[in-house]
Amino acid sequence: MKVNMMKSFSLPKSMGRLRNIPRVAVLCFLLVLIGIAAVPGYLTGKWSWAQLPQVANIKQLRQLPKKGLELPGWKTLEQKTLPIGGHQWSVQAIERDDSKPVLLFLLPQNDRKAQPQVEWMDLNGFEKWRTDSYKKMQFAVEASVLEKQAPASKPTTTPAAEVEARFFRAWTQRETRAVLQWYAWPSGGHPAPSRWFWADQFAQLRRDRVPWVAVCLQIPIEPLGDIEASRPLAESLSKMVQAALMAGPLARASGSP
Amino acid sequence: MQYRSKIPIAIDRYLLDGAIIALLVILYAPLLIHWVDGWLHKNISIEHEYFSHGLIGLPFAAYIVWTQRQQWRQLPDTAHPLGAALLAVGGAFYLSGQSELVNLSFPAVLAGIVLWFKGIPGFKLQSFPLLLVFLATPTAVPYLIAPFSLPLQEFIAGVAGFILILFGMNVTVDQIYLSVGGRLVEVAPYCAGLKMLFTTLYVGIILLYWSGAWVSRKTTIVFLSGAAIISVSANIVRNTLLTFFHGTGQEAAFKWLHDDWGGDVYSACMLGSLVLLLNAIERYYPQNPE
Repeated sequence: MKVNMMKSFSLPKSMGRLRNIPRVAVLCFLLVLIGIAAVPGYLTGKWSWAQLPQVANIKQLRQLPKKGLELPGWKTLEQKTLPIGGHQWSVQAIERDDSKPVLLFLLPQNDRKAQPQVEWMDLNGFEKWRTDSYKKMQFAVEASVLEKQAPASKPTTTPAAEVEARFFRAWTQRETRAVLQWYAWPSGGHPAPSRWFWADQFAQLRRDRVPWVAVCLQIPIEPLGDIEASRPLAESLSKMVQAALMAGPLARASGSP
Repeated sequence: MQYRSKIPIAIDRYLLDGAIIALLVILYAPLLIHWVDGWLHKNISIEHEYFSHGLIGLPFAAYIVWTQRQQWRQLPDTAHPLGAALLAVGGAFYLSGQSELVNLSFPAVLAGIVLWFKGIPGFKLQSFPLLLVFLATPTAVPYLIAPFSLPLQEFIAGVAGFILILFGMNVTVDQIYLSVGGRLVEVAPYCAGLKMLFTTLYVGIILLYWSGAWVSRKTTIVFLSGAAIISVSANIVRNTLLTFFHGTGQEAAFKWLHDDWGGDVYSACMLGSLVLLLNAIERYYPQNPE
């Protein structure tokens, strides 16, 4: 009895029908959602949220550890794959006339589900080195750099990429190296997995993906020397690696939308 | 007169509510089946498994809503604009088709409906079940926090190494690596026990709610901190045992604890200890009369 009185008090009789308006609105709203998104799912049995969109260039990426990366002006002395932290890395020794051999470690995405995780930690465990003097290195790869590199038959439409890498000194009892690490993707690069993650999430809204390659460059320096001395070489090499990746394994396969 | 006009409205109301629930089921049943399938068969991703506590939490949330249905009905109808906003956001997330956003649309739409029908008082009434649903919604949060678990990994590796040295084993600890007898054990981010910590805290808040202890802020804080400490300590013990098994070449024992049902026994002991902890707290820290 009390309940009834309260109800009729808070909602006068004339308002009875109006009371249902919020409910009817929700009903219509849900019907619209079902019509647009759920009915196609039920009819086809395919739900876009159930599976990540495919990575368009996964084949090129999987090829990368087999032959490494060609860099103009640099000669590959040796290239092999090494298991590091449970993944198959491409390890490549490259050389130019005036320098000691530089090591290039590459780990491409090998599956649509693969995400950058703890690659830098895996390398620490593999190298067993001590590190210090952590710095940032920022560089941009111009579209013109790519055009110079890419064969004329393959006009590139890849835009310039802004990259940040971490730059630090690493040493073991035998030698000291200036090290650069970043995750490279077609429009940029950063050492933090979260940067790739957000780029990939936005791409997924267009049912697209952002492929990635973990890059680690190791330049030998004087025992416990200053890494700043090798910054120019480090920067030009990293630009070259990013550009070669963008023109090669990270490039959109021609003909794909 | 009054009665005649009221009965059709009441029937309308039940029909409408029933239709809304049916439409929600049509919208979200495939998604929830997908979640549960991923939790049971571990076939979506490691991040998804972090939310497997939803297997307990989602049915419990539904149970609470059911037991509170009388109170819900008695609340006056007031539409809060935030409800409409949440519904719009939830709808947009659902339409995006992107898995993270579609997942998040579920708690958003539920919270939106609650606020849209019964305003803030309704939201307060349903806040606990909504919290359970929100915390069980799979997102990429574990992926994003994994890089920050490094200090915890180093701490676990350090303490595990120390315990093994106390037992006379020859162990060296380097960052997150323990080497025993020439074998290397890595305390990976997913070994840092964050999943167990999440599950412990989630089951912890269910226990607090169930026992009614959550009305006391002191009990809640002491209990949840205690639960976190138990979870981290238990994980140190687990990692110590794993290192011991691996270092002494007992691969079968290592596999049992790492991948097999040994892990489930460990989790069950952990969660059982929560009940003991809550009993102990209630005995030694009697609740404030307020």
